[in-house]
Formats: sequence, structure tokens, C-alpha cells
Amino acid sequence: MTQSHDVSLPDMTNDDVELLKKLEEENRRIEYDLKSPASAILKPIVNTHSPELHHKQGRKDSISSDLSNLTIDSDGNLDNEWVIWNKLVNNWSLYMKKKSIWIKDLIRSGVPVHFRPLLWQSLTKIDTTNTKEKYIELIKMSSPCEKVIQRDISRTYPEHEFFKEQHGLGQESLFNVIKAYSLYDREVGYCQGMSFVVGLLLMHMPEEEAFAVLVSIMQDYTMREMYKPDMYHLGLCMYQFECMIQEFLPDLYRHFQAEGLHTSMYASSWFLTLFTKQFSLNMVCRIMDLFLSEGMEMIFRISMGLLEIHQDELMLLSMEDMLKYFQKEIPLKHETDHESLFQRAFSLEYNGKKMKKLEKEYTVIRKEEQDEQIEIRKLRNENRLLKQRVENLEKESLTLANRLIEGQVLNAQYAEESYQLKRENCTLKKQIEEFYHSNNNNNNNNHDSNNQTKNINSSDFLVKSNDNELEILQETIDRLSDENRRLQSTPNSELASLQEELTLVKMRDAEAQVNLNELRQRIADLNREWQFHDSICKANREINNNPSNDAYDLIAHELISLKMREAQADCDNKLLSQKLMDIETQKQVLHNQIKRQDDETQRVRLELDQYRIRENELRTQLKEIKNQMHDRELRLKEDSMMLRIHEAESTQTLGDLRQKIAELEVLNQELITRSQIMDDRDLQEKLLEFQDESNQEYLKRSYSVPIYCHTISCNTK
Amino acid sequence: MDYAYVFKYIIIGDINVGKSCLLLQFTDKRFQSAHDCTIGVEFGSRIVNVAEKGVKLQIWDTAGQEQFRSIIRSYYRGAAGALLVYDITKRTTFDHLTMWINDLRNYSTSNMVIVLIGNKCDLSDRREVQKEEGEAFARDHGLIFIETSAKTAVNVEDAFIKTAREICNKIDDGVFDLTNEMCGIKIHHKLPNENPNTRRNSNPNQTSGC
Repeated sequence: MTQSHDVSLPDMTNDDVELLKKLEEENRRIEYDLKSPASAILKPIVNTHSPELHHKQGRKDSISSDLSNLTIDSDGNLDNEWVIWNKLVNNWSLYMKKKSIWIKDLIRSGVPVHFRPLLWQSLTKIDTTNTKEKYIELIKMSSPCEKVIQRDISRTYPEHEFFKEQHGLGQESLFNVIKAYSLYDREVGYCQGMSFVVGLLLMHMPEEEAFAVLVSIMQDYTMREMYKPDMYHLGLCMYQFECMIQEFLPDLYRHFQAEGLHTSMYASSWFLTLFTKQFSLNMVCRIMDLFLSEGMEMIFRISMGLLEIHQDELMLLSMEDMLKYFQKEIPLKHETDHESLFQRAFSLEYNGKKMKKLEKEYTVIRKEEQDEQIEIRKLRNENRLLKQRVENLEKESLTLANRLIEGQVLNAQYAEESYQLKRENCTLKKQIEEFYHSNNNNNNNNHDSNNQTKNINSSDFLVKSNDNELEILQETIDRLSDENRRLQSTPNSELASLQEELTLVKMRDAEAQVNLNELRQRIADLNREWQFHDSICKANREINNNPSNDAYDLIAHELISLKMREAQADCDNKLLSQKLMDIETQKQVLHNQIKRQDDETQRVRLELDQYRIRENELRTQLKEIKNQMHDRELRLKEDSMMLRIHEAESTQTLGDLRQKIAELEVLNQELITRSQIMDDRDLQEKLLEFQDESNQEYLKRSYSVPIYCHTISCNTK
Repeated sequence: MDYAYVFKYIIIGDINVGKSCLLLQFTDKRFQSAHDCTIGVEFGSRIVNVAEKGVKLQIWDTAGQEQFRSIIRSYYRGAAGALLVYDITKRTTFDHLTMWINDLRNYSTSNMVIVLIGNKCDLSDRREVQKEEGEAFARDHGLIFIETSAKTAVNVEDAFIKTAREICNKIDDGVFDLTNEMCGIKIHHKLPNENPNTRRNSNPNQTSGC
């Protein structure tokens, strides 16, 4: 391909073009070495579009005549192409103003390799002087992203000659430019993917220019939106692209949906790296030409073109195979044939208004999604709180169960007490029965007196009533024990009801006690009655005067009265033991309370100790701070003293200088007068000499600048 | 090779901990020190034998940089297993694990099996995170733990297969709702001539995750 080029060179009148051609050849050789045959681009360039160029010449403007001369003839004379590009690049702003569509078409038809750096710089309208200064300033600073950037440097074009060498020139300049940008635009910083774009730029121009072009790509071509931390813009592009697929390739869209292949799975790196990671270098360069000329639209066009060309193959594949196809097959297929893809991309329909509409739609969708996320987070929080509450409730129920068990134990104690009461009752009953029997005996022995029988009857009645009462007591006791049993059999019933029942039991207990007291009273009454009866009997005995019976009766009477007293004492004793028990339980309760309070005081004491320690710490800190303050104050005073001294010194030097100025003025005056005396001509000659010298100096400098520029441009190649 | 299930995996972790290398070692059995950095997500797959069943693993390898988090989150949802990777020679990658776990818990299905991988164990002389620390972290968060080296292939196979085995166990326990596409498990329907009783995928219009 290079051969055909060289043969068609005629004798050129324009020296510049000759030089450029040589450079082009050199370039071609270098690129061939790098296994990226850039020459392939050049071949089909001009023929396809020449009629269009002719057509556009019809416009009446200042450069139209130029163009008609430059138009390339149908046999593909490349020299004219050089001339065109040369003129275009040299008069960029003029052409851009008048012939922007023509330039667009020219770029679509292909860019000669060696014009590329200049074209990119012109397209991005970079202001070199300003950004260069900024760049030099930035690479001196250190960036927070440096570590991350360093990690990715060796992972950017790892097989490319320029970037292959560890810590080589290529890697170093890549690092510099990315670092400078991360400082220049702190919101974006560094984002993976960026490095490939920078790498591509560095293959074509030195660091400063690459940085300037990068800044323009980021700001004017909205790429910084793409790399911003939330990657909102990438999501938008994915959405727009998906909608485009749905509209133009509905079958493929359905196939993707059925296989579960999302747009972002294959296309996110297309948009993030502008295809720099996907294709061979010459193809990537061409895409960059088009991107810089036509913007993000071109990336959409190429992406759509890719899907359109490969639609038939993709339709047959599963999700996995499609992904592998995107990764491996597609780059391979376009290794040799790029133009078919570009022609397809150019011919596609692209509706800017529709894209704007989709953008609006996407913002709404995104907003909804965010709202949903917030909602989910809220629900999660609520869920957590509820879980905590459940835990707390579980704990509470555990303590309640514990209290229930305690209640049951208490219940058992009460049951025991009531049983004891029952037994006491029984013994009392027995005693009364005994008493009744002895009384009966008495009756048999002393049946001679009516009064006596009457009395016995009345006492009999009393015993009966006593019996009745005992029965009632027995009943209540039975009822209580029944209730107790019921309570024990239903341990899981609620504590509140249990407590209620407890109080009931307590009340019954109190009742029983009251009854007991009453019983005691009765016994006392009986005793009194008996004494009364006894006295009557004595009287009777005195009347009867029966000495044999007398002694026996007396003994029996005394026995009964003794028994009576014993019963009373027994009763008292029981009461006292009851009281003792009460006091003991109270003691227990108090003991427990004391224990708890002891614990509490222990805890409080511990806390106090901790606080004291903390207070001490704080005090020492305060002391330190005070010391520091003091030191600083001292230093401040010293400083102010120093400053004052300096001030005094400087005023002194000022005075000195003023004096010197006065002296010099005097001297000056002297010199002026002396020069007036000197010969005027002599002075003029000297003046001329000086002027010549300065002119020469100036000329030398102005020559050295373009030479320097030239060396730079040679370096870049 | 025939297989009964398809499991979706996702590999996550900080930048440059060796996620892509693990995947490459597992799928291609090779190590590549110089490779392009991952932009967005990349994909790999392999069929393995787990509990006398063939299982196809579909593995999504993700970009580790912060910016890509919002994109890769959409991949969490449909994954049955996650390989959370850190670099034993870089303490910060271990310190970020809690953040990754929170992200996983917030955006994934609740039954996801997570394996914690301490990678680069061949560089034990530059070790900054002790094995015990990794084990303790895994225990606290209910993860499977394993130390691997993508370079020397130590434990790489094991990491992927252990995860698959755990998922199989969970399937046997009936934890997963296999009719739900979002659990990251698909039953593979054999070709009709092999087994005439199998149904075709009942829902061909899978909803996209976005």
C-alpha cells in the first residue's frame, strides 16, 4: 500500500508538501513497526467523496476558488490531498467558519496520519499557552489518586511498544497527564477507562498538548459527566442506546431480552473508553477523529453500526456466546475491514430531538429509582427497630415467667400454712369433744339438781354452736385448699389474675386468723362459763353435803378448768408463733432490699471512681493545655519583640537609603553638568553602536524560537 | 459436558486485588500479570462437577473502582454466589470489606452464598493481613473463608467449587425459590431428544434488571 503512494509522487512545487510527505513516509514506517498499519485508512479516502466536494464549491466565498484548485481528481492523486490538508490545518479558523460541513465530510472520508495530531488539537480548539502553564504547575503537585493511577498504568495498553516498558517514558508521561488531570478536575479525579483515552493521545502528541486535548474532551465533549462518581451519564447513554436498539433493531432487542443480556454488559466500555480498548489502533484513531469532529453522536452511530452488521450472528447465540463474541470476534472481524462499519455508521438515522426526550425520561426513571432506594432503606431501618422491639418484648416475657414461678412458690407456702391451720382446728375440735364427753359424765353423776341440768343444757348448746362454727371454718379451709390446687394446676395463667388470687388468699388467711381469734374468744367464754358452772356446782355441793362425792367432783372440776387454761395457752402460743413467722418474712424482705441497695451503692461507688479517674485525666490535660498556652504566649511575645526590632532596623536602613539617594542625586547632578561639557558627537556614535547591538540580539532570539518549535514537533513523531 | 444447573457468580473487591486474574486462572488455567484493567463488567464461564452433578458457573468479574459501584450493583441481584476478594499484602483492601458486605446485603438476594478470598497468598513475605484475621471476619459475618493465589493457582479451584457446593446444599434444603429468576440459579433444560419430559423455559421474556 505504501508503494502505490510513493510512485504517484510528481515533482512538487511546494517545499512544505515535500517535507510533509517525507514525514508521512517515516510515520508509516514507524506505525508498521508497531503492527498497526495506519496506511490502510488512507486508501479509500478521497474518491468516494469527491463529487460532493465539487458540489460544494458552488458557494461564493473567498476560499471557494482555492478549493476548486485543490479538489482531487478522480484518479486519486494524493498530492492534492496533502495540499488540501496543509491549507486546512494552516487556515483552520477560516475554513471552520465557512466550510464546517465540508470539513466534517473530509474527516469522515479519512485523515492522513501525520495531520492527525494537528487536527485533533484544532478540533478541540485548545489554548496551548494557558493550559501548558497550568500543566507544568500541576505535575509538580501530588494527587490523592496517585496510588490508584499507578496501579492502572501498567494495565493500559500493556502490549503496546510505547507503554510496555516498566517505568519507561511512555508509562511516565501517561502517569503525569492522568495525575495532572486528577488535580485539575478534583470532582472527577481519576476513573478507570480514562487511561486508554490518554494513552491514545500520548501516541500522537507530547504531554502538554495531550493534557490540553484531554481537558477539552472532558469538558466540551461531556466525557467528564461520564466519569463522575455516580456515572449518571453512562447510565443515560445506556438507556438511550437501549431505546435506539429497540427502535431500529427490534428483533435483536427481543433476543437480548430473552437471553438476559443487558446493554451495560457489553456497551459500557464502548462509551467509557470511546472504543479505545476494543479495536486495533488504526481503527481507534479513526474513531477518535470522528468523535472529535462529531461528538458523542458518533459513538452512538458506531455502536449501532456494530450491532447492525453483526445482528445475524448475534441472533443465533446465547448470552454467554454473545458476550464472548463481543469480546473476541468483533475486534477480530474489524481488524482488516473498518470502512464497512464506518459507512454503516454514517448512513444511520440519528434523531437528536428524540435523544433529548429520552434524556428527560431517564432523569424521571432515575429519580423514581432513587426514591425507591430511599424507601427501601427506610423500611430496612424500621425492620431493624421492630426486631429490637421483639427482642425487648421477649426479654420482658422472660422476666414475667420468672415472676410467675415466684408467685407459685409463694402459693405453695400459703397452702402449707392453711394446712397447718386446718390441723390446729382439728386438735381444737378434739379438745372440745373431750370437754363435751367429760361434761356428759358429769351430768350422769349429778342428775339430782334441775338447775344443774339446765346449766348443762345451756353449755351443751354452746358446744353445738361452737361445732357449727368449726364446720364453717373447715369449709372455708377446704375451699381455700381447693382454690390453691386450682391455682397450682393452672400455672400458665396470667400473673395479674394470679396476684389477684394471691390477695384473695391473703384475705382468707386474714379471715381465718380472725376466726381463730374468735375461737379463742369462745374458749375464753367457755372457760368463764365453766367457772360459773363450777361455782354453782360448789354451791350445790355445799347444799347437798355429800363428802364422798365432793372430793371427786372437785378434782374433776379442777382438771377441766386446767384443761381449759391449757387450751387457752395453746391458742395464745399459736398466735405468737404466727406473729413470729410474719416478722421473719418481713426480715427476709428487708434483708433482700438491703442487699440490692448494697449492690447499687457498690455500682455507684465504682462509677464515682471512674469519674474521678476521668476528672484527674482531664485535669492533667487542662494543665498541659495551659502549659502549651503559656509557651505559645511566650513565643508570641518573643516574635512581637523580634518584629519590633526588625521594624526599628528597617526604619534605620530606610533612613540610610534616603541619605544615599540624596548623595546619588548630588552625584547625578554633577554628571549631568559634566556630560553637557562633553562632546555631543561622541555620545551619538556610542548610542548608535548600542542600538545595533540590541537589534542583533533581538534577531537572534526570534530565530531561535521557531527552531525550538521544530525540534519539539520532530520529537513527537 | 452436560450440566443440571447454571449458577451466577459475581466477583467483587477493591481495585487491583486480583479479581480478573482469579477468573482467568479458573476459566483458562493461566496467569497473566499484564492485562487491561476491567471497565464495567467482564464475563467468564466453566462447567464443574459438584456433588455428582454438572454445574455451569457464569461468572461476572467487576471493576473495583468506587465509581463503578452504581453499575455493578445491578449485577448483585441476580447472583447466587459472591466471591469477595481482598489482597493479603494490602491492609486497606481488608479494611474495606465491611463496606462491601453492607453493599452486598443491601442489594443482593438474602440467600446469596458469599466466600471471602484472601488473594496473593504466594506473597506471604509481604503479608499485611494474617490468616486468623480473615477467618475471624468470615466467622463474624457467616462467610466461607479461603486464601488463594491466582498466580500459583493455589485454592482457586476450591474457592469456586466450595461456593457451588454450598449453593447445592441450600438447594437441597429448599432455601431457594428456583422459579424466581432473581435467585441466580437456573435449572438447565436438556435437549428434547435427550429427555422428552422437560419443559421449555416457561418465561422467555425475562425482565431486564435495570
